[in-house]
Parts: sequence; C-alpha cells; structure tokens
Amino acid sequence: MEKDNLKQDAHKLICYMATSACNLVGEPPLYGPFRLVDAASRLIDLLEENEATSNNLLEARQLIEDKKYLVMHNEQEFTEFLNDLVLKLAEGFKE
Amino acid sequence: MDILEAIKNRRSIRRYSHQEISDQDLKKIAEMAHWAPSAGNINPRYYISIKNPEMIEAIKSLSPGMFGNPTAVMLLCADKAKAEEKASTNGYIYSIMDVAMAAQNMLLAAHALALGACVIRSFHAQAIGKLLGLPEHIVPELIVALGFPEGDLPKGIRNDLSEIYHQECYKGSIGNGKR
Repeated sequence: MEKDNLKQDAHKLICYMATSACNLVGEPPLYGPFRLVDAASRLIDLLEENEATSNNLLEARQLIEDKKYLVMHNEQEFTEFLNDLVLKLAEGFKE
Repeated sequence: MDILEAIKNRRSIRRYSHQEISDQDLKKIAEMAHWAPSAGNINPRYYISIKNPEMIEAIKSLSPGMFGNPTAVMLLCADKAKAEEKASTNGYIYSIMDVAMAAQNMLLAAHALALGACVIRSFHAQAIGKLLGLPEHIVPELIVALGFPEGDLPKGIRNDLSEIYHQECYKGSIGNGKR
C-alpha cells in the first residue's frame, strides 16, 4: 500500500475513534466496549492491507465480526465474547 | 408486498454487496419519505443522497454507527429555521419527529425494492454538516445506509408484545421508572 493511502486510512480510523469518543458521552455505556472492539477490527483491516497482520489478529477480527452485534440483544454473551477476545489475543504472544 | 409483512420482515442490514443502487431507486426512496406525516404539514426536512464512494467513506469515518460498505447513503436533515418559524419553540422537536417518520418510510421503501438499509443516529452532525457544506439551519438528524444485502439476514428480536401493549390503561410497573 502506498504511504498516502496508509495516511488516508489512518486518518479515517482516527476520525472514527475521535467521533466515537465524542458521541459516547451521551450513548449507552455498553457502546464503549463495542466501539473499542470495532476500532480494533478496523485497525486489523488496515494492518492487513499493509501486510502487517498475523493469523492471531485475523482470527481475532473474525471473532469480533461474528460477535460484536451481541451488544444489541445479549449483554451476558457480549461480555463473554469480550473475555474470549482478550484470551484469543493473548495467544498471539506465543506466535 | 403486503405492508404488514413488510413491517415485520424488515431488518437492519449492515452487510452489503458491491452492486450499485440506481438513481431511480434512490429517488423512489426519497419520494416515499416525502409522503410520511409531517406535523402541521410543515415538511421541514431535506433528503440528500450520496453515492460518491469517497464521500461515503468520509461520512463513515464520522459515523461510528455505520457498518459495512453501503453503496449509497441518505442523509435526513431537519430545516430548523423553517420548523421554528412555522411552529414556534416546539418546531424543532416536531421536525425531528418528522424526520424519524420519513426514515421509517425510507426503510420500508428500501425493503420493498429488495435493498438493505440501516438507520443511524450515531454520527457527528456538525462535522457531517461541514463536510457537505450545509447551512447551519439544515441539521443532519439521521442517516440511512443503503445497499444490496449480503449474507444471512439478521434475526429479528423483540420482547413479548404483552410487556409493552396494554389495553384501556397502563398496567406496567409504578415507581420512578428505574429498572
């Protein structure tokens, strides 16, 4: 990926994170963890496009994409997913 | 398409294919929104359709509630000046309700056209207004993301109707409203 594209994609991600921070002040508390894991997924997208990812991160992104919308209807399962995600990412240190 | 079935089968779609939406379909969706009720028939609302991928990307980066890659977005704005001129201090609240009713029509129209749609409130209205060069009195209130659905449709989940529908009088809990 060209450096300019990387800058542009990083800018979009930073905009997303800053807008999330701004809006979260008045949004449901569970949207905080939701936005954080969504930002993680978007960061993995960016890393993938720059050939700088790992199997562990790709699996973590898959887990996020499969489970993130639980936030809207099952708080307990969403919380369990967050825990599973951290454990999954911790495995990455062994790669 | 039966209207009752359409209401019940519509889902918020957050995954879209790359297939482009025609200008004709977007215009039809805006037309159906235009037929939504409006307090005092004031109609203080504007709809702006956007298909330019770069602009959609910019809007998406300012809209944490937008997911997937919609091929079009519809920005629903309240005309705050017109609303307040015609309906005094309540005007702006009315205009927001008008926009919400227009959004539901848009969602149903999109569903009838075999499109997927998702209504979004989580965005930075001021920043998007600046991005699109909107005057201050034209306030973005909702976004409807649009595209042809991809993947499985999400399940519809609602609590039991009896919990929220009471006949003749309120039969819910009495207290301070906290759960």
